[in-house]
Amino acid sequence: MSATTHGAFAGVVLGICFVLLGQQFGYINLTDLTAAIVYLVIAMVVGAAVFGAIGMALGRGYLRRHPPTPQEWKPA
Amino acid sequence: MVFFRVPGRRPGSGIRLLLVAALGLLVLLPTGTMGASSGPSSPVVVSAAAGPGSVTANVTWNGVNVNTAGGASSALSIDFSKSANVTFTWNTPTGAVNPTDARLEMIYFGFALSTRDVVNTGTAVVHFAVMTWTPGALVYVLEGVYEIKASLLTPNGSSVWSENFFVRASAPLSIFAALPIILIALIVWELYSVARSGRQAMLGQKGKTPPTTPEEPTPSEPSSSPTGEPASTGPEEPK
Repeated sequence: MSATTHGAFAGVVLGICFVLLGQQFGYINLTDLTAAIVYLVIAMVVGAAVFGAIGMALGRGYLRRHPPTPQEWKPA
Repeated sequence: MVFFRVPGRRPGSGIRLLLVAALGLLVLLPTGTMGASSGPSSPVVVSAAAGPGSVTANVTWNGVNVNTAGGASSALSIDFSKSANVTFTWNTPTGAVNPTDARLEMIYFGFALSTRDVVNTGTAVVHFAVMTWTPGALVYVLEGVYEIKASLLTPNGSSVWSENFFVRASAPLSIFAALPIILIALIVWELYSVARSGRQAMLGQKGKTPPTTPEEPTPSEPSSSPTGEPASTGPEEPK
C-alpha cells in the first residue's frame, strides 16, 4: 500500500469521525438522514483528498531522506 | 530461514478495525428499543398538520415551552444524567377523537432512537399527560444536539398532533460518553498513522521486492518418502 493510499484511507475514516464528533459536541445537526449522509460523503471525499496529498508528501519526503539501499531491498 | 512480510499489512491494523467496528455498532443502535416504553408500540405515522378543527396542544420540558426550541441554535440544554418532567396538555374539538397516547421520540439519522409513551388506558377522557423522561442507556453513549418529536396519538395509532424541538444533551462531565471517546481515540490513531505513512509504505515496499528463490534442501537435512521409509538416492549396492 502506497503512502498516498494509506493517507486517503485514513482521511476517509477521519472525515467520518469529524462529522460524528461535530454532532456529539453540538456543532452539526444529524437529525435528517439525507443531510447526514451528504455531510458524511462530503467529509469522506475531502478527507481522502487532503490526507491522500499529505500521505503522498510524507512518503516522498521519507524516501528522499531515507533512500533505499541495496541491502534494504532484500527480504527482511 | 526467510520471513516474508504480508504486502499492505501494517502494524496495529487490528486495533483500528476493532475501533471502527465499535463505532459502527454505536452508530447503528437499535431504533426505538432503547429504554422501557410504558405503552404498546405502534407504527410510525405521518403527523397531521395542525389546522382548524384539529387538536391543539402544548408541551413543556421542565416548565419551558418547547415552542422556544424550534431550531438547533435554540435547543434546550439538558443533562443526560438527569430526568426531565415533560407535560402534555391539549384541547380536542367537539366531534374529534381524543388522543390517548402522548409520545416523545428522539431522532438520530432520521430514525427514532428512543421512544417514550404515556398511554391513558382508563375510560375517563383526559386532556393532559405527564412524563418523566430519561435517556436510558443512551446516557453512557451519546451527547450532542438531537431533535425530539412530541406527538399525540389516537387509539388507532394515527397522529393528530406533533411538534418537533431540539435539545442539546451533555454527557456526565461533558465528555464521558462512549461515542465521543471512541471518536477521539480513532482520530488520534489515524493522525498518528498518517504521520507514519511514509515509513510504513517503505516497509511495505521492502517486503514486495525482489522475489526470492525457494531454498534448496541441504544434504544434511534428512528426507523421507511419503510412506515414512528413507528415500533411496539410487540403486542399492550389494553388501
